[in-house]
Amino acid sequence: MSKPRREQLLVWHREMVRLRAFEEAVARGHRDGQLPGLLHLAMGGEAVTTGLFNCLTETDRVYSAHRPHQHFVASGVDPRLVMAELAGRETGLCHGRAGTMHLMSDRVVMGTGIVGGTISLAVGHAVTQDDGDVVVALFGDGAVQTGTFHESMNLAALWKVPVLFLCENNGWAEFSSRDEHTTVGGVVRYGELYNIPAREVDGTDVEAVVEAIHAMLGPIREGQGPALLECHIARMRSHYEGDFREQTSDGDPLLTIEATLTEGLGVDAAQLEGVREDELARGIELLESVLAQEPEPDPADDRRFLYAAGDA
Amino acid sequence: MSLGDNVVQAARRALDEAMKADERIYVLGEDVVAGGPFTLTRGLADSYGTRRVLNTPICEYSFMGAGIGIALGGGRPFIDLMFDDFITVASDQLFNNAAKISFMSGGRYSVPLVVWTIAGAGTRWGAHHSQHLEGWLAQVPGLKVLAPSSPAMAGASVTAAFQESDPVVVVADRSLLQSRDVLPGDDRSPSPWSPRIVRPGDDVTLLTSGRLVHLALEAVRDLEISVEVIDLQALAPLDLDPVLASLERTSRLAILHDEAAPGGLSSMLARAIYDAGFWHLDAPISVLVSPGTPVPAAATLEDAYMISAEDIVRAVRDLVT
Repeated sequence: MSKPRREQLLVWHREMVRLRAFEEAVARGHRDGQLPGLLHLAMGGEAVTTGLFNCLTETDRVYSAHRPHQHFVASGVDPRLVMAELAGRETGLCHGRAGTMHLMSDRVVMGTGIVGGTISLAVGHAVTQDDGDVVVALFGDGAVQTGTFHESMNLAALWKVPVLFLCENNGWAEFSSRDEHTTVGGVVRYGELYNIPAREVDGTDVEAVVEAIHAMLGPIREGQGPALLECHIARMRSHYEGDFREQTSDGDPLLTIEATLTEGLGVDAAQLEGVREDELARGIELLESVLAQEPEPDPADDRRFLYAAGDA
Repeated sequence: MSLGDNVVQAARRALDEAMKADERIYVLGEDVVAGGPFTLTRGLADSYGTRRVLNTPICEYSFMGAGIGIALGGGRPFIDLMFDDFITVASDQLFNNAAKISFMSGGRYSVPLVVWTIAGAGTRWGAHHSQHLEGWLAQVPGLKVLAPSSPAMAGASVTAAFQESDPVVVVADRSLLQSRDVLPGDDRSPSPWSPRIVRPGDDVTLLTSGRLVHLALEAVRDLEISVEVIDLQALAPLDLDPVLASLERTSRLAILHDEAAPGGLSSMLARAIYDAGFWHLDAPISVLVSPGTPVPAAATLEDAYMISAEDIVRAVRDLVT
């Protein structure tokens, strides 16, 4: 680790808070009736997301799923572009044609509204990657029960392509717990079946996440083929914003990192609280500014982008 | 295309030439290294290696997805889907990703994906290896669909598909795969994106594609009615201008398509022509499709299921009486 532990953790803490604050602002916008759409928020996944991007290079690629906002923001996309997209504005990341689940950009290629729908794309994309570059397939534990998860693991293992299958296991798939979806004990066990390295890690602990991803990416970058990492995280919100069921789980990664900083590393709790207040205020400011300033698409452009530029 | 190629050979020749010219092209599918059941990809692994000719397990959903991922990574995938019927398995990837990514990404990405598949009854292979589902594909915004009717057009379709930045599905007719029959105009390198008149006539316009172009030509050859036969070629996007121009002269239209009733593609064509050409018409459009059942296996049933030359003659006669 290049920075001393305390400094590094403070950097990661701020990043995790920034991601949390973005989603908090989205939640606020939804609650106030200002942000449309079927919104699935990612509170609880901040340690995995922050840890992941700490381990990636600019030429690595990531495929996300249906809780994608934080992945895009963490990858370096201007949060204003993401917020404007969620608000359905012409100046959004995808000119308002994508919305919440279907965001697309360069480093994080895309999210999806189809559970499991991007896993095989990550495998194909990896075929085209230059030596040393990887593709990360992010998905939840609900996707593990789809056929395409298994087809994609099998394809990647056969083709020996540089893919890290990264499952963010929050214990819930839509409105039912993992126990109600499968009799299989752990996602990590599929690694053995497909003959690829597999590990599981506490996804609320950013240091553990970074250690695990770093260790797993090494052999992938060297051309040894895919690997599977199961990160146990919490789902801190209901399946979608506005759902009447409060189906959540415990394990706030911000509390974990703040406990480490205050209890072991002598950081003042008030300093961390200041970071939270600061980022939350920025999130709300961003939301309000986007809603006030960014223009909506013109219905006269309804067919724009249907075909690639230059094609009929 | 060389003189005497059949449909598969012409397509393979076009694919080989494209791969030679563009190393971003990858071929994916079941058994593509061994050449596939219809020998479309025979020899390609020897020429271009198994880094570019990628065998897949039997997993249409995920190898379609992998093809889309290759396209997003800068490659130009060619997928041999083997049978049109298997589109059902791969349809989520085709409909929700390939067709929508240009639009959803606001133009940041396109998906230059070429899918080759074969469709059609007449083999006694039953309900899972005989259907025409390209009418579904033609109704998905963002997908382009070609239905070549001859060796020359099969080759031209593959070549044209690689020139697109959008996903293109080339649906070859099962009963034409070994055909070497040429159609009028094949030697003029016509574009596969526009309908072409393969037989001029004055009384009735007959709009069709694939094997039915050949069957229609044979059926109307000695008829006392003057029939113009148009080979639609591109099922999506539709270019109806040549059809409307024909209707201005004939005022009567029959649409023939190998698909189960009520006929999604035929209905779509009829509706589009009513919208744009209603005042050209002196009679309701006649639509001829197969019965609305699965394709049956038994020879007697399957033969009755398929549109025949007699069916075509009856439809043409009904239009002028």
